[in-house]
Amino acid sequence: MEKLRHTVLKNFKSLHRTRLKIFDGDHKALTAARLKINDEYKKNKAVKDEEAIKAMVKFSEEIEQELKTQVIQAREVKPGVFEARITEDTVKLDNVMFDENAELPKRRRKNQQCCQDKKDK
Amino acid sequence: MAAASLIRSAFSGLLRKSTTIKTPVACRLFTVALQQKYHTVKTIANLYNTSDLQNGVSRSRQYATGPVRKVTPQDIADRVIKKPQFVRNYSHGPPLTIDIIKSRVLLVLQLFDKVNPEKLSLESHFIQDLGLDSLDHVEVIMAMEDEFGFEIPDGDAERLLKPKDIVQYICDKEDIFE
Repeated sequence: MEKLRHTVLKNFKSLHRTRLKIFDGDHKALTAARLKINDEYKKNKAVKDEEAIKAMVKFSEEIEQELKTQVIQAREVKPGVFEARITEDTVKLDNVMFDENAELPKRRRKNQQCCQDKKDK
Repeated sequence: MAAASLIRSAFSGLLRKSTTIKTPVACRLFTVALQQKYHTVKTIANLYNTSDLQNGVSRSRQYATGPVRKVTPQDIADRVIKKPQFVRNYSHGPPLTIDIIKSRVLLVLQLFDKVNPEKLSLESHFIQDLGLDSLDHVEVIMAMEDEFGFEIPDGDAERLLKPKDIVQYICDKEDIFE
């Protein structure tokens, strides 16, 4: 149980460190994120079940990973022109080269069924 | 030769003799207009291998904006081969005495919104006197790490439960005796 407590506190600290790194300079976002993290941790302070705690610890690790890879900051330097700030952790995907002959999926009308449903029937 | 004299006569009316340097400097007013013609004239002149070049008058000087010093190979060598050695002077951090550390620790704690500044002293226990919980304690330790610029491992952090413990820990780490 002690070890679990340590893990929880360690995750709490690393989550705050990630928050400081990701929202660096943006005071509004920093305080909002800090309050959110603190609230969520305090809400579940009374939970005693080990399995539940382990699941929440895993959840916090996933959140940290999401924050590090998916969240970027952008600042407006001229009206309508934004400058983005990305880190080495940010997920960078390959560009999809423009293909004239590419087939775009047709937009579905509201009541149309998916082809899979039609197949089952 | 004929072409050379042609060029010379064409340009001589436009060249004014500079008092500081020997070579004639082209008058700027006509330079732009003549630039196109100049190119063709120059190629013709090169073809004929004019005596102007042999005299040491360099065509490129005609567009100089002011007195141009001749670049010696030594200058180039200094610039390219022997790059200036930048000397870096690293200073040490801000002065640290026990009093300074005490006041900094107390300041950080006073700025923490969950701490009541009236109850705060060096002897006040975070959990028992100030009513913080372990999560707040982690935040306090993080604030101390940011203030003093070094990481405090979790094992050490959980033993720091009073401001005076923190002051003692930092003094040990920074080797400050008084």
